[in-house]
Amino acid sequence: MLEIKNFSKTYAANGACPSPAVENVSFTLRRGDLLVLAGPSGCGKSTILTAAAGLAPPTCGQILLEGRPVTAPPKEMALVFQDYANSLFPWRTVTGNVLFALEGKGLSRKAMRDAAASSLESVGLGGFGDHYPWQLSGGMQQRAAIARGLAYGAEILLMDEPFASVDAQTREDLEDLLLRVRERYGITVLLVTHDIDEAVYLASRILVLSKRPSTVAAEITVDLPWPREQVGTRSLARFIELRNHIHQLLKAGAPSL
Amino acid sequence: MKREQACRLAGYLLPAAVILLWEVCARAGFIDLDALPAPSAILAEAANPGALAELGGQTLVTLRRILTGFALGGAAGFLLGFACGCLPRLYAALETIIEFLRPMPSVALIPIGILFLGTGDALCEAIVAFACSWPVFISALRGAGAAGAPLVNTARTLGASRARITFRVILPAALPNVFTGLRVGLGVAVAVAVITEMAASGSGLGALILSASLSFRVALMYAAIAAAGLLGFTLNALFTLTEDRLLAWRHGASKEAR
Repeated sequence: MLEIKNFSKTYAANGACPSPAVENVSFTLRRGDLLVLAGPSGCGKSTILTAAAGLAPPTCGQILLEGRPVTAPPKEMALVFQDYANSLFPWRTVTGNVLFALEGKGLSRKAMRDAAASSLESVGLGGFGDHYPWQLSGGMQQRAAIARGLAYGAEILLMDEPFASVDAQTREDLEDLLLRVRERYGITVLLVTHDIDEAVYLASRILVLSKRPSTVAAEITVDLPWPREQVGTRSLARFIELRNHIHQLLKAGAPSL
Repeated sequence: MKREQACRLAGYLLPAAVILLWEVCARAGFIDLDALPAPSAILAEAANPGALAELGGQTLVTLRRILTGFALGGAAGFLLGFACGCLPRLYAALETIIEFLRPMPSVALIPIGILFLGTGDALCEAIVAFACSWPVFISALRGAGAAGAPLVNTARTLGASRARITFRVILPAALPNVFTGLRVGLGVAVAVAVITEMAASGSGLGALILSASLSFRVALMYAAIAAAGLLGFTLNALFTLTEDRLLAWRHGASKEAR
């Protein structure tokens, strides 16, 4: 449903030579995918995601959603940032933040309230609608951001290192939350991470990107059984095999010391 | 929390102690009473019916001028600053003239004002508006950038139109800055109103201070000065109260960050 074709992005720093961040990356996000873009930090993963969201056009190449070029943020997509603290509206309560996603849709007040409550319920924030973001922990703030994306009715959730700023335990909780929510809402996910374990645990497919300027180093189908489970899945021989394989790929692409 | 309360109490006691010390020194003869009468003498002067009516009346005149000037200047400064903050090209076009006008001492404009507006309320209000618009302008200009890219991008991906982003994201994010500018502007308004009244008006607290001073009614002069101070203090307190009400979300957020 989402096609990235020959995507290149060049940043022209002031005075310096323009340096390509991403070069000729192509891939297709299919309905129901949980596609993970994995790669070393600074390799341009987020650049691809930002462009896919319609926030910044590529230098070269095309982004097609159901065949139509993406030039502005499409209503089929919602974006979840790593920086949850700066992506929630601090002057709105948690419910208010979710309502923001519903306000342009011409729903009645009651329908909006109900939709917000149900999406908050589905991320386990049922009793926290009246709290302000700063009253919640980091993990809960990120849940609120996810709930907002769900309420928006997005078919594709774009996630930029969504769990990189929370502690390990919270991170596992959020990973499982994402898998559950994906199941329940039938959404397609494109997720960026630099964490190989997380990539293997979550993904149905992984796109391994090389270092800057990044190109697609490998595309790996993750054939681990569903549903995934933190302890069980991570101790499978296949999990470790995939993990080591990606590790090797990234190492091969890393600059030698 | 206990310590904070103790400090607050000390904050109330300090001015009381200073006034007490002043009274004692005055009675002990350490002070030239012609230049600085005892607090009790100033109070007695202010309490005599004729002076009280005069003080009250002139305070109201000054208050009205402050509020009108502040409302006009605050609105103008906010609108111009917010517009310039949202529209970089507008700011680029206006920056030179703004930076020329902004540092101009408002009091220096009084003679021009007199030519157009005479020496009444309108003059005072115009000078006050000019003076207090600048801090509000700067704060709104800065505030328009406070939302930050993640917040604006979030709104964009949630399908918000440009107008909705401007008024539902950039504007609320700018408000804490704007309110800081308004608070500074309100202080400026009080000062400039009194100065303008001293320079070019027959009425208001400024005029009363000056006329009392010229006719050697020193106690009345001090009473009028105190009234001006009290006016500024009260306005600031009311403003802070309103700000805390309207921006309760920020209060909590910043408390958490501490």
